[in-house]
Amino acid sequence: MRPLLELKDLHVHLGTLYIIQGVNFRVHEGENLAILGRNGAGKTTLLKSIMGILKPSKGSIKFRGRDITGARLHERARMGIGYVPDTRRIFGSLTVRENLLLGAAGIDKKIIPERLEFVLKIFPDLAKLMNHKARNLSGGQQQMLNIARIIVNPHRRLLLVDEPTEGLSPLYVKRISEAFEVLTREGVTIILVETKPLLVKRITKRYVILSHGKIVKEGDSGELFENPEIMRRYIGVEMRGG
Amino acid sequence: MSLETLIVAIVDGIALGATLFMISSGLSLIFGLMGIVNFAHGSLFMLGAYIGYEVFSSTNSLALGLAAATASMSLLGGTIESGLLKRKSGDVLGQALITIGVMLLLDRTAWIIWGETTYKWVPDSLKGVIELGGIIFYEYRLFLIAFGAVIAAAVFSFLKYTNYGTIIRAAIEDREMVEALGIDVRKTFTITFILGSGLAGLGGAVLVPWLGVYPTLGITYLLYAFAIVVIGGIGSFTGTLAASLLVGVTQQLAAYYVPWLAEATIFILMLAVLLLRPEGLVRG
Repeated sequence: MRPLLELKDLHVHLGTLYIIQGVNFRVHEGENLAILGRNGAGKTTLLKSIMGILKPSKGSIKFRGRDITGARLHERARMGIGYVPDTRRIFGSLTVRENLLLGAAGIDKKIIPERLEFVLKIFPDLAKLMNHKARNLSGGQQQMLNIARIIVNPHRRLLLVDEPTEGLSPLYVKRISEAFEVLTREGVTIILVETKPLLVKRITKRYVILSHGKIVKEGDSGELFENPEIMRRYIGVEMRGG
Repeated sequence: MSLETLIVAIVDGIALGATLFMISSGLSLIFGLMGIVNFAHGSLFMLGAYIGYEVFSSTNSLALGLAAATASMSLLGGTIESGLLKRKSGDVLGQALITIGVMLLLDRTAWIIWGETTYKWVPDSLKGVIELGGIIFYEYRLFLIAFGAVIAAAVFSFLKYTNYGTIIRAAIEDREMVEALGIDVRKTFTITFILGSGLAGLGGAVLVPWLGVYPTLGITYLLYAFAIVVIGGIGSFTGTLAASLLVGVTQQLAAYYVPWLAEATIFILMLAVLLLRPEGLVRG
């Protein structure tokens, strides 16, 4: 089966820093992948390179069999890749509705109402905030908008999600986790950078661990829970219970 | 200091602010969206004034002169963006140097054509004065306030209610994220340049019946516009509007009461804002 995403010998520099040092992996449709690693391992840089925000210095990226290494950011988004950044880069001066409509740019206008209904079903908290400026939302609400803005577009087939639950209360973590489960059922594939074991276990099937820009370990996500030593040793996360 | 003088100064200040808004809003949008410090913006303002004057005086029509100034500067602005600046996409310094070159070229050309004379033309229908509550106002300055309000409302509606406007507002905040949603932001650059240049041309032309047009008009108002953009907050429509009115009123009050300080008031205001609120009066 043709992989949805394929990275071959990817190298990325940030100025003089050599961040990603030859990463290879394949992700098939529906095979959600967790990217784990300590701070500074290169997880965010890797996601940004797949999205087209950063240019690799060497190697190739294929999406649905097509080489997208040289494609521009907006072109990759139109091909079906969505990026949920860790810093909730919502448009603060725009209303929640305007943020969502920007996310729906390029789709058939007739289906916009049903797509809005779809995201508001996943994140009902946003329904009553549609005319509020996004900057006035709480951190959890902003993160929901950050995700909703991407998934309102039905053409997204691959989501690159960077630490979506960072700093959020358990209630919002639960909401976001449920949202990813719905999306997975809808056929969206997720690459998740996350350190919360619960989310990794619920959302992903496989994992790779990055260290100093290289993949040092990979396997089935369930294995992480059978062998908590992996999380402690490679990521510095102590797991207790689920 | 009579109440009458104070009211007249404030009304004149609002009229001046309405004109300043037309030049500053385009400059602010262009800088906020594209990161380009457009040094040619003042020259478009000046050239709009000269073209406005020529059409006013040959047709005796204010509307035709304003339309000609707006259309010609929109066209010129669009040409500068798509013909010159696009070639240096991503090179902010290169683009700034291009706009300096265009400024020098336009200013020199205008000087060769029109010389050092100050040209002024006032429409017959707005030549008079109006007495309201015992205070006498110039009709044209009241017209400027009403006209400025209409233009501000039109720009606001474009930014608020059109797809392009929403994209421009979002891209001023975070261009990369707009592109990550699948939108080619570069396509909005030409539209923004056309809009900003047209507004500058209109602002220059509408000022002719009050202050006239002369060779240093462009550079003078470019400096004012830079200061207003800093005071209002870069890329902020409401900030630019508020700062234009604040600067216009402050300058006119100074002109009436402390004339020796009038020219400096705008820069004093800018320094105060930079010290107390560096992000400008209005955020986003």
